Formats: sequence, structure tokens, C-alpha cells
Amino acid sequence: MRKLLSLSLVLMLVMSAFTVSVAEEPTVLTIYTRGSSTNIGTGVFAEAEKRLNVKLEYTYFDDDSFAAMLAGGDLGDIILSGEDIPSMLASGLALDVNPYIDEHMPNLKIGAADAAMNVCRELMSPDGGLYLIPTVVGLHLPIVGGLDPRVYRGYVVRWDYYKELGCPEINNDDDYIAVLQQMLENHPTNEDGTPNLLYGCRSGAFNMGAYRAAFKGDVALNPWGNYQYNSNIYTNEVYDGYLDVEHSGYWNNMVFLNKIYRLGLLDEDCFTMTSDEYRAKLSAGRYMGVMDANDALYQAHVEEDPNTDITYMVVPSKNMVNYANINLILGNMPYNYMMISKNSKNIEAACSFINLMYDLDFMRFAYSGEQGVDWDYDEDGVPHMTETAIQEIARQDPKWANGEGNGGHGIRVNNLFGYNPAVLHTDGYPLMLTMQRETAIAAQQPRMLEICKAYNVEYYADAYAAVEKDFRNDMGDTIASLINTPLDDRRILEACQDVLEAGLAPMIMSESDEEFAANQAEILAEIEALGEAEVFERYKVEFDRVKDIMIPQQIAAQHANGLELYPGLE
Amino acid sequence: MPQTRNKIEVGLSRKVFVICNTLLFALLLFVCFYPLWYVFIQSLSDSNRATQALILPVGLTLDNYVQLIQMPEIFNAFIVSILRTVIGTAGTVFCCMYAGYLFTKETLPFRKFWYRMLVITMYVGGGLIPTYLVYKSYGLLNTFGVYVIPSLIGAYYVILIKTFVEQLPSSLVESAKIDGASEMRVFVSIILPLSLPIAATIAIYCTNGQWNSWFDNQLYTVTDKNLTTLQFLLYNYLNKAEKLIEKMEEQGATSDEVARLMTPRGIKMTVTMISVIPIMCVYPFMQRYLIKGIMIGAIKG
Repeated sequence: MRKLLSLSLVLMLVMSAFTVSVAEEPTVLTIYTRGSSTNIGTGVFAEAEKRLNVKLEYTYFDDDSFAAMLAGGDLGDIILSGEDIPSMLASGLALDVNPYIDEHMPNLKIGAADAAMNVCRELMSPDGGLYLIPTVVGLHLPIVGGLDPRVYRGYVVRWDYYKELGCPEINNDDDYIAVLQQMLENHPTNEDGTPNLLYGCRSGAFNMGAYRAAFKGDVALNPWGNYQYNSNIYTNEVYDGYLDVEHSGYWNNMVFLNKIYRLGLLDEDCFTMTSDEYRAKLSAGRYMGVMDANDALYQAHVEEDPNTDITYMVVPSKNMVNYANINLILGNMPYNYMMISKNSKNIEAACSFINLMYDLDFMRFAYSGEQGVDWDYDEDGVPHMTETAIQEIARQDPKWANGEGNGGHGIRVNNLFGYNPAVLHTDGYPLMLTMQRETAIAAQQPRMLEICKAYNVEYYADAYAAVEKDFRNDMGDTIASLINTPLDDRRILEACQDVLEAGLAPMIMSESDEEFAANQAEILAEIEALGEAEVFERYKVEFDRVKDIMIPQQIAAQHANGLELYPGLE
Repeated sequence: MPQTRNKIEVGLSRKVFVICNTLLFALLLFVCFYPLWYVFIQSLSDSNRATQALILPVGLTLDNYVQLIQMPEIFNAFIVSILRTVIGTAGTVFCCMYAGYLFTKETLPFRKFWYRMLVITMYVGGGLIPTYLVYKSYGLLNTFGVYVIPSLIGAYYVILIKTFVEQLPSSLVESAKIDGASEMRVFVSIILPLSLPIAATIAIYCTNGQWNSWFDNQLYTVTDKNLTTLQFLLYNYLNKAEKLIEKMEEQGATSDEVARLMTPRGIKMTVTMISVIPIMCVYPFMQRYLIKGIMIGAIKG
């Protein structure tokens, strides 16, 4: 009996130790994220904690735990979401922050933030309340670029092999394939003897959201926003990605992949390999061309040689468009937005945090570092990065944009920061001061200098700007955020996705043009039978309605950014 | 002669049988063993080339294990897993034993009613959200108790124990009572020692369940990182990241954005090995109890 009592006491003691340790945790500001984005938890947020006197804690949750927490009302203080906007609004989770703006969130009443919030109130909210708060609003990448303005999309090549060929022009898919074939002939195997491959892609390449082929000058689609119904970046005309074969990034991608397959050069693992298997091949540099420019190969060599040219790079191409000068009225919506939970026990602290994310001084700190250390004003009141900071950036010091989301300054945290880096501070200069041309030139990293040398330009972005048009007219993301696709229509679109998936392999592995056309026709017929065309018509009506409302705002905003728009919008 | 021919035929057919049987079981052995070998060799391979390892490690190295040891969350998760397994198992075995013993007592008020209520729980569950709400109302969320307390009583285990205890000679209990032993004394000094086989059986089931459990971590202790278990960590590395990657790729994320979610293959495999090794060490010793115990609680006619 005594032994039993002792054992029970020990058990209770052990369990209470854990319980007590939890109960003694300080009060924290919990940020719940559905994990649809990365780049949170940077060192900049330590400063946010200090300024607000809070402890930030991030919690990832998925569908199962989300359902349970929703039922229990346990969704912390701030929720970051990238899920369907209408259903999140309908869930009743979000607090209407309007009553808190004057006292706790005055920064939401300024400039681009104010414009964004007004759009959310008037066009997104059922009752004029402000429930969802967009992130990274305003002008994103100006043509000059920023700390990490690597061009990700376009014709991507293994740069060292491409240089050997003398950087031949690549203006269309056939040019691209021909150059890659030449590179493969010159380097049929890797250093360890494993065979090299022509083109690298995996499951992401087979989605409607695959952006490779969308960046073509003649099609000029914005692949974000609604990835099934992409819009033209100049006119913002929307196209049916399923049935409008001529204007579909998806079908264009299928043609491209089929061409490679018929050459016998498609990586046979592309349909099945996991992301880490793909990453391993990228790190080994086995692909001559890949779907998007990435760091894998570079990281595998940069430690050995900081000036290595062994990397994947996008080449400037007349047939591409440049993701620059894009003005995001609603920021990164529909993929990222913030809400304060109705059940939050720290509403005022949560409001203060969001207010800080829209504080221009804090954004300047986040993007450009500390005043007096990393940047300062000269006698004329013009802010400049310091020499030390420029050199740190040029040698990719971990303090700056190390790309991991765990560094310090210069990272666009696209699900938390209020402003894009090119937005102007009250001093009239961008929040990210490396976007000033002289600074940007001085802070160029070795890979950017490679482009400068190859294309004989002073600043690497000039090489792209010389031949490519940019996103100044585009409003695809903004308009898509404001459209509510009815549930029935979404079911039809999901069924269409199933049809595409089922027909994917036969499509890509068609042995002739006739077979490709036949497979395509079969898929199109199935999709049409599902009623997709009617879904698109309904979507287009809504899209055009919203577009007409938003165009004047976009024109005004871009003029305020100092940009003349391309024909097609005004 | 017919006898000799029969002997030859029997000998030949036996040889054929032995060969086929051996091949079949060799194949089964390979199918069962190779996945474990695959994980093992990749855990010993260079992280960037681990995917190439099929028969032997590629770039043989212990770096993955070294890196793992240096990750603070691994050690913490390991301790939490060990604690919940030991405490959970001990608690479940004791509580189920006692409950099973109580159900053998006809003097227990409303015995049949409580027993039926217990059996019903084997067929009907509350569902995810009601269960979450119940745990929340008991203050179990984000505490260690949520790993242990809900599993203290298992209906199936109680039934097994009840059936076993009923088979024990009642004269033992009677003689103890005559000697002045209390109910608790009878339970501790007579019932428990005699029930070691069934207790061991239940212990192995519980150990397996507690060690492998991760879903409760995902739902009920998601905000307290100190309560992360090894299996949930493994789930995050293996499955959750892959789902997030698919979602991000649908939304046009770059390879680098996706890469931030990935754990190197070598680390994934090393975590898998670490989570498998402890249970592999325990299981062979407990196996005989498992085989015996499955039948031990069977209802006899």
C-alpha cells in the first residue's frame, strides 16, 4: 500500500512538473499560420518584440488541427492565411478591426495602406468591416531591383555551360531546347559520371500554376492570382486556362514538355520524384535547364569559390516578361493576409503588432537596417546605405537576405510585412535603400556581376530591361482577390483538375503531333462536358466588373510611383 | 520398386517444396527487411547524395547523426517520447488492471451498467471535434497529461483483464480475505502478480501505441513546442513538408521557397532510424508475451 502511494505521488509529481512548466510560460502573442508561406521568424522580429514588449510565437497548423481549433476557438491572436478568402470571412473567425484603427492601428490610414484597407472594406467585406488585412502592399520590384532581385522566371540555364557557348540568344522555346541540347552534348555526364539531363522539372511543372511558359512576351500571362484563369499583364484581359489553348500557360507548357519527350530527353523521374530528390539533382547540376532559377547548384559551390559561376540563371530574352514595376494594391492577396482572431485575449497587442508592420520607420529598418549603422542621411537629407553595409551585402553576409528566412534585413516577409520594399518612406526614398541605383550597382553580388559581364551592362537588371517588358500594367492578383467563386463552380474546377491529371502522362508522352492533338481534344471535350465554359463565363463577368472598378486606382497608383503605363490599360 | 519410386517422388517434391518455400520466404524477408536497410544506408550517406543510395551508403558519413544530436528539438522530442511511453504504459496497465479486477466483483454497484458503457466506447467514438472540446474543458490541452490521461482506461484491455482474472481460482482471494487482507491488498499481492502475463501483453500494446502516436501531438499540443514527440517531428519532416511543398508549387512558388521547407534526405532517414531503434530493441523481448497474451484473455466455453 505504501509502495503504491509512493508510486502515485511520483507520477503526480512528474506530471505536475510539465503542467506547472506550461502554466508558468509568459503571455505571448501567438501567430498562427496555415503554413502556406515561409519567411517568418527573421531576426527583424526580435526588434519587433522589443518595441512592443511582447513575445512572438509562431504555430503552424494544418486542416485537421485547424478544424479542431476553430471549434474550440483556439486560434491564437493573429492568423496568417492563404486560404480561400470568402470561406475565411464566412468562418466568423476574424475580428473587425475598424474600431481599433484610430487608437491602435493609425498606420493603416496612411498612403497605400489606406487605399488597400478601403478596397478590403468596400469590395471584400459583407458589412463594411475590416476583417482581412493584406500584406506587402504597394510597388514591389522596381526595375532597379533590391537585395535579392534575382530573376526567377524565364529561360533558365546552367550558367557556366551556357557561357561556354558564348551566351547565344534564346528568344523562344525552340531556341531554348536547341541551346540546352548543345550544352548536353558538351557535358553528357556529371563530375561523378552520372548522366546529365536536358531539363529539370517535377510535379509543380504540371499544374495550372506552373509559371515557366507563362512568361512569354506573346502570351504575357500573370500566372498568379487565379491560376486557372490567368490574365494578360498589359490589358488585364482574362483567359480560360482550360479551353483557350492559344492563351493558356498550361497548354503551352504541355507542348514544351512533349517536345522534350519526343527528343528522348525528358527526365523519366519527373512525374514521380520527391522534392528532395529533385533538389539533389539540382545541387549536382545535372540539368542543363530548369523550370525556375534556384540556389541549389550555387550553394553547392559557393563555399569553395565565392565567385563561382556554377549556378542556374535566367537569361534575358525578347520573348519573356520581367517581374518588375508591379504594384500590388492588395499586396500578396489572395495568397497571404492577416486576421486578428475574434477569440484573441490580446487584441490590442495584436493590433499594435500589425500597426508596426505598417510603420514606415520599422519597414525601413527591416529592409535597410539600422540608421547610423547600415544607412544614414547625408547633408542634403538623402538617405544612403553605408559602405560597410554595401560590402556586407555584396559578399552575402548572413545579416542580409540570406534567403533562409532566418537572417536579418532585406527579406520581403510576404505574409507579415505591411509594405513592399519599393514603397516610398516619408523622406521620399524607397524603404529598401539598395533600390537606389548607385547603391544597387555597388552592392551587386557575384552572380549579378556575371550578367553584367556577359551582357556588357553596369547593373544586371539593365540586361533584362533592355529586351523585356515588365508588369507595370498588371492587376491579376488584385482582381483575383476580389472575386468570389461559388462553391458549385469550384467543384466543377476540381473535377477539371482531375481530368487534367488523368490525361497528363499520355499528353506529355504523345509520340506525334497528331497523337498530341488527339489527346488534347479528348481532354478538352471532357472538360467542356463538365460545364467549365459556363464557369469561366461567370468568372469573366465578375472579373471584368472588378477590373473596371480597380483600373482607375491602379492608374493613379502607378502614376504616383512615377511610371508611364503601357498601352492597353488606359 | 513402387516404394522406391514413391520415395524418389516424395524426395523430389519435397526438394521442390523446400526450394520454393525458401525462395518465397526469402522474398518476404527482403520485402520486410529492405525498407529498413534503405533507411539505414541513407542515414549513413552524404545528405546531398543520399537519394542515390540503394544498396550501400553513398559518401559514407556519420554527419547526419552528429547533426541530429546537435539539434535541440530532437533531444527534447526523444525525452518526451520516452516519458510518455513509460508513464503512459505504466498508468494504463495499472488502471486497466484495477478496473478489470473491479468488474469481476459482483458487489460493484451497477456493475453491468458500467460494463456496458465501457463496451460501447469500443464501437462509438466522439469524433475529432467533440474530443478536442472535452479535452479542452478538462484543461488537458498543451499539457503532458493529454498524452497519458485519456488512454489510462482502454475498453479492450479491461475486457481482457476481466476475463483473465475471472479464471483465477477464487479460493486464493477467499483465503486472503480470511487472513484479513483488504481489497487493495488482495489486488496488489495476489491478483497483480498472477496477472503478469496479461499485464505484459497490455504493456507491449501500450508501449507500441504510445511510442508511435503523433496525431494527439498535432491536435492537442500544437502550441507548446516542448511537448513535441519524436514521431510528430518525423511526421513534420516527412509528410507535412511534402504537403506544404505541393501546395506552394500549385501557387507558383520557386524551388528556393520550397527548399526552405525541406529537410535533407539524410536527416529525414536518420530521424526515422532513431525513432525505430528503441521499439526494435524492446519488441523482440516482449514478443512471447504478445503471442501468449492474445489467447490468454480468450473467452473459454
